[in-house]
Amino acid sequence: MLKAPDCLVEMHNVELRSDRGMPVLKGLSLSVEPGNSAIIAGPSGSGKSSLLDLVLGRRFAASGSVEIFGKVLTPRGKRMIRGIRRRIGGVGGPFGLIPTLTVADNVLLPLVIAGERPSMQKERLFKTLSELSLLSHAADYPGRLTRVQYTLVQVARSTIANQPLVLIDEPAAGLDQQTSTQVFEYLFRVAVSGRSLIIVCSELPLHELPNCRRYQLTDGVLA
Amino acid sequence: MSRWSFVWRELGRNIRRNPGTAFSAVLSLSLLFVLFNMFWVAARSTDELYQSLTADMQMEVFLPDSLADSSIARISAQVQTIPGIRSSSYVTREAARDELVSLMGVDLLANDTLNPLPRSFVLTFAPEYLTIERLTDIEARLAQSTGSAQIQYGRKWLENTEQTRGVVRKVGLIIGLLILLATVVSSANNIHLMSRARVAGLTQMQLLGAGRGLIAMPFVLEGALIGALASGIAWIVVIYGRAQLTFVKVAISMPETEDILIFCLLTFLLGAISGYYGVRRLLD
Repeated sequence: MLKAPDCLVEMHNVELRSDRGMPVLKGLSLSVEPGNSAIIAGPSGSGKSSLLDLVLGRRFAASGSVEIFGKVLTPRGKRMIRGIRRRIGGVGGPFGLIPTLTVADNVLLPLVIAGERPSMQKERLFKTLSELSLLSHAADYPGRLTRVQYTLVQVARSTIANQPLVLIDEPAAGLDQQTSTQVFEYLFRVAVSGRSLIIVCSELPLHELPNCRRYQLTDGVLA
Repeated sequence: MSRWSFVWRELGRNIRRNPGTAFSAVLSLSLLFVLFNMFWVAARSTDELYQSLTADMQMEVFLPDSLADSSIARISAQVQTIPGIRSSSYVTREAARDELVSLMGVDLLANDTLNPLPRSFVLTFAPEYLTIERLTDIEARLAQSTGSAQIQYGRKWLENTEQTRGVVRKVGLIIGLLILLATVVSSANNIHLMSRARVAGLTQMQLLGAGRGLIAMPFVLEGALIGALASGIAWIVVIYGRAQLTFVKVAISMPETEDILIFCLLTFLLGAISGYYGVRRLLD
């Protein structure tokens, strides 16, 4: 059982290298407290996705410390990593929807994985889809959704199990201004509900999120 | 949706999305199992043939001339105590002569005043004692208790038959194991192909914190069901084929129903194991 930590994410002087030994992240320090958010902007290849990989336990730092929910992630701690991932939601990037599952089944996955009772699942599914105006799309497959709807389904999946931390990779990539604003409005609601967001994107967005720190990531260095 | 509901639904989805792969997996495994079943039936039939050939085997223990007739009863009682002897019948000199006459069609000893033919015990054995090793042991005991220097039975024939049986068994075992190995590899490969087609979905499940069991179980069940189904089909083919055969001179011995069911259960487990191995590399 993970105890309530002071920080959800705490990275200190982290160095990450690629498989070929090239430095990806250098001396990176980042902390995200519960209820706070972080937006990290950087050009392509600056290490944004690698930073998310560190949080998810997909990669491990060559030096420095990485603590997620107060736990140090190691390659051997696979069970712990699985437990941590159940408390993290994801939008965009690697967090695609499973194309063979309906919207409802995709959104329910975190609850199924957690072993929640079917009656509870139904209740939460209805509430979550209603809040995001996705109820009419419950039986649709991801391939039939618009870009915004797809993103919202990911948001729904990221919040249905009350995950305290949501990782968001390029939420507005390829979207026009109006649609981008729509997406950020939903993200704002997620942030206001007490969850912490870590958003990585190529440019700092104009939209504001509550209790949010902004960072610039350039060549693996966070400023 | 409970975890088990999710697993069964995923299984259904896997099969619905790849019906061709599932069908070819069942077909290829069925063919392998038909081959295995035929070897099994052949092995059983060979075994039964061997037993029927050796069942009537007899051993004749010729008694020395020096042995008094009054000792026959004692020796007969001693012979009966030797384990493995099913029946023992005493052949007198006169009975031996009568047998010679019936064999030759003429009394070759008509001009002899004395009957030179020896007395003997003719012995039959319990089926499990009809091996060279055990008969050799019985031969030694008989020689000791009867004082006989001449004990005759088809030793050479039995040796050759046992050797042949041993070779057939070994070859059958090796071929059987190879077929089962091919089954596991084929099944694992099929499952691996199906899981590779769904690698994106599996990655998503892992990112959401799904355990290895939840991810692997649909594939394990798929392997198990394919294994059991292929085994069932193979047995139906073999049983139907057996029913169609009417001209065989050798009795064909089919396994008992219990053994067939146990085999189907084993193929179910084998399929489950190969299903896990087919998806193992994609876990974590």
